[in-house]
Amino acid sequence: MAADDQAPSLGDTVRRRFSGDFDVDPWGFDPELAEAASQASSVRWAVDVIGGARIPKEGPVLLVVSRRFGVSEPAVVANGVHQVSGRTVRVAGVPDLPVVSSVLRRLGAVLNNPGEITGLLHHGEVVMLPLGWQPLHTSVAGSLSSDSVAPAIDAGAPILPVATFGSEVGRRWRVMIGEPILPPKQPDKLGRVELAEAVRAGVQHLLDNPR
Amino acid sequence: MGGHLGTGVALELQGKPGVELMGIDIDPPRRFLRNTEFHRVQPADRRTITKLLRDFDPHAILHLGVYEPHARSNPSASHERSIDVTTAVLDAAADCPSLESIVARSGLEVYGRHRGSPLCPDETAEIRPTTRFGQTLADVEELCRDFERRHDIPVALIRFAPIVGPHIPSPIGRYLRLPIVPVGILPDAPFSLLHTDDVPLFVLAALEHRASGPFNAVGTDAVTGSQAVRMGGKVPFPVVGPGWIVSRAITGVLGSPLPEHGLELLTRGRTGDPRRAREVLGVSAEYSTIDVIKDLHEWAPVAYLEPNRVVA
Repeated sequence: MAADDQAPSLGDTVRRRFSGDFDVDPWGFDPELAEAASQASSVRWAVDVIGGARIPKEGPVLLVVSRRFGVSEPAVVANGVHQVSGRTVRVAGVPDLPVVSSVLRRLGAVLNNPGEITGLLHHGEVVMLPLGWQPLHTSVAGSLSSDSVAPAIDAGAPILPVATFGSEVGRRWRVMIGEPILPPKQPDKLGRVELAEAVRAGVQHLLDNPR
Repeated sequence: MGGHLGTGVALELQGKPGVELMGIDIDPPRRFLRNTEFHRVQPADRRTITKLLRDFDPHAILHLGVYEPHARSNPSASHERSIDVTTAVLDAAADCPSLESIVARSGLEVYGRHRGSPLCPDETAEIRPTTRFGQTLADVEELCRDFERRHDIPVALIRFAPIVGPHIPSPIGRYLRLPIVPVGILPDAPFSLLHTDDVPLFVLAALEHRASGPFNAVGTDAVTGSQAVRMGGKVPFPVVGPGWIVSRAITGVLGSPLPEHGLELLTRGRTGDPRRAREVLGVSAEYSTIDVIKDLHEWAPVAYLEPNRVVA
């Protein structure tokens, strides 16, 4: 391996961070911290991804993800997608609270706000949007409002339904990624409702047919 | 035209063929301007402003007379001055028969940073200012939109990120150059800035396109408060809650008062999506936020010349 390809030493990293020489994007994402967190999460979770080839190598994509208990899924999906595509997942749904939102934003999370999601998709990012919470019915896809798919329509981003299988205390998780759904251009209200329903049905299909 | 922004835009325009310039401000221009008529007028002197504009009968008005608290004005005067000048300019503009477009200064502060609002809003985001300066900008925008509706003359509203650069009186720029800088508790929030030299790019592009509506003008990337301080070799001092009352009082005494919108910038963050300016006006900032911070810290200290010294 050439010297230039070698990973920076811990000392160099600490020195650079102490002198402010690191990147933060306009949504607060710090790639260096996120990479460290991703490596740490690999120790906690072992994720098996089915359909990983459907994640585009570049360009925007909206992942609509089923939620079981709701704590592990964001980290599990982010870890799985990073593993198969090398891309960072921007998880929507961080609470806008002092310290908490700052920490989670550094790792790539954003608010579940149409403005934030639209901006990220226009920036070519992979954004994860969780479905409505279904703690008692884990095999049923939660709700998805028609407004939630508006950012994908605005940015012309494909939507991928994603189902997760695993338990909160377990280590092994499986992530299934379904066929991409392309949003229509400038749909009316009914068109948006139909798109949201098609995406929800895509997630339900994955939950009904686990592999 | 008396401030750095107005002088910068005038310098870009003065050499262009067929361009005649007339400027109005409280202070005289910062640089020598050729073929330019300038008038020192107080913002409240509406009659003089109206007469000057009507007599000149411009094709375009660049209204940059919006005053940031603790830049060139104290917080209470900045609101009053901004509204006085805007009202006077728009009032006079209504009687200028040759007028084709107006470009007015606004800022990202107009969006506000209430809980749940996007950190990086585009121009479709709701206007809900959370600071006095933000409210001033919202009032200026409302006056401009009313003018556009009544007279069918396009008004472009340039929502600038905090403008920082060598020589410009910027409260946040001044603050970040302190030796020990109070910042939000770690990890602190990101914000974006715009370099002074990028201001004319956006103003002139809006003028050229006779653009209408809001445009975010923001340098790429972002920094956090502690990062910006460390980049200059200074010491960040994390502050939380009531600690800000004490630290703002101390920095005020040291000559770097932190206005309300500056505190919001450091504690809640503020960036903006410049996509519309890129797509409609075809313009992007040439300096990233990191470049702005580097330039701020590399700004050489003032050198005092000795009057009787023989230099050649």
